[in-house]
Amino acid sequence: MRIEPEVSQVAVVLLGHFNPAIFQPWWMARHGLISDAAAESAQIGVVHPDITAFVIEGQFSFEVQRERLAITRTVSPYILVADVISKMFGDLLPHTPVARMGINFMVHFDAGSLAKRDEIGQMLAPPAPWGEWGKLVSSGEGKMHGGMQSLSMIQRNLDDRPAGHILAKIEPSSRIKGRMSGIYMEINDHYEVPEEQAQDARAIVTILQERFDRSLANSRKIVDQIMSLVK
Amino acid sequence: MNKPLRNLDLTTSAPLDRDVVLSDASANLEFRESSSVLKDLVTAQMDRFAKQRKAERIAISTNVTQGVRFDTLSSTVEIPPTPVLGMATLTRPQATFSPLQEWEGYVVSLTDTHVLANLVDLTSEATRPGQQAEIPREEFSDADIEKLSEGSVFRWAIGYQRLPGGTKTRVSQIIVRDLPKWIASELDEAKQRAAVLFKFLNRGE
Repeated sequence: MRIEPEVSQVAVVLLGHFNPAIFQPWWMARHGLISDAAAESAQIGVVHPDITAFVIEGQFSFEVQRERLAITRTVSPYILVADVISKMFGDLLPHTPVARMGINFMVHFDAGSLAKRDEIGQMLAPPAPWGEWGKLVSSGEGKMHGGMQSLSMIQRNLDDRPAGHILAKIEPSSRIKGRMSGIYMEINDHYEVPEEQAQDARAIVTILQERFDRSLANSRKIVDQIMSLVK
Repeated sequence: MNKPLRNLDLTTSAPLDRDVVLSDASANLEFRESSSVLKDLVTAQMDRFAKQRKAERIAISTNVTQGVRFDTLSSTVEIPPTPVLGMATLTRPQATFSPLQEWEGYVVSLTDTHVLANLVDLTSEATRPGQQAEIPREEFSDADIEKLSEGSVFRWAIGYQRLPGGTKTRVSQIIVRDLPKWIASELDEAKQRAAVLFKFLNRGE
């Protein structure tokens, strides 16, 4: 990407049927998914039959509810999250029903100035079609200046998956707060498998292994295209 | 504006809850948004637990063990385990590290001090090894060194790490990949494909 992000993160989200109580750091360590030292250092948020959430600093954040499992990593190499899920549901829990998966890429980057960010916002969502109100939206200085707040674009015509989409979202970033020049983007690369393949996790795990790198590469290209508007 | 992506909509987008101001995008990265869902869930569970406790006071008045069934005079009561709560851990910002360059490495040989590996440059979307490198063992974590052997696969990324306080440092990080085992059906499939290919290549003989 032509601008180095100030914050970046990758998350794999699975939708299916899970038993949150079993997904605990020591269970992962016992099965070789993480080291004993990592399990020891895990910071537990919640452990409960309906939800388990913990963070292993420097490795990943993990959160599972009965129908949703998410593993998030903020440091590269991001492939670790794909490997943990692949081993978890490829080797240990292959009979877990999993129907849908998202490979998510999120970044905050600096557009350089508020004026530049505003210019990009107006390019993507011109105020003119909004008429008189559009002029009011664009008026004001500093924090009183309005504009595009959130925009999503979805691609549905994809031939590399049985069903799914790629959803890109762009918003002002508040992570890059003081400068008011930050842009936030998230790309949701979503896959669904037919019902007969959703009875276990194999189909989704295969897609994850085959697609993870290409998915991130594609997401980076989408982000990079927006970055190219920062001339 | 439409309700943004939420977990209850069963989307696979990462953010769990966007009830916060939309421009406050950093919330994704700090689990602030998910924590609001977590809080709701945990509060609901705690309420349920509290009601259950009240209703079945006899059963839990003494010697209560988490997750144990109690046979009382009136009914069988299943006591759910009490949630372990540490919400602050989920909201703490973490270091982030965006790669400038990333390689997939295949270990060719190991010495006492170095790892010799073929590297595939993933940044340029290469699919075959184009470089060979001798990497000091110290570059690998202690846990990963134990996993190293000829043929091991690893990922190597270099780039800038930013700490939550804003400190920016150039770092190199390697992880040894722990891939799922091949299962019998996958091996059979690979053998069948190899047989077809062998037959094709030797069709002239």
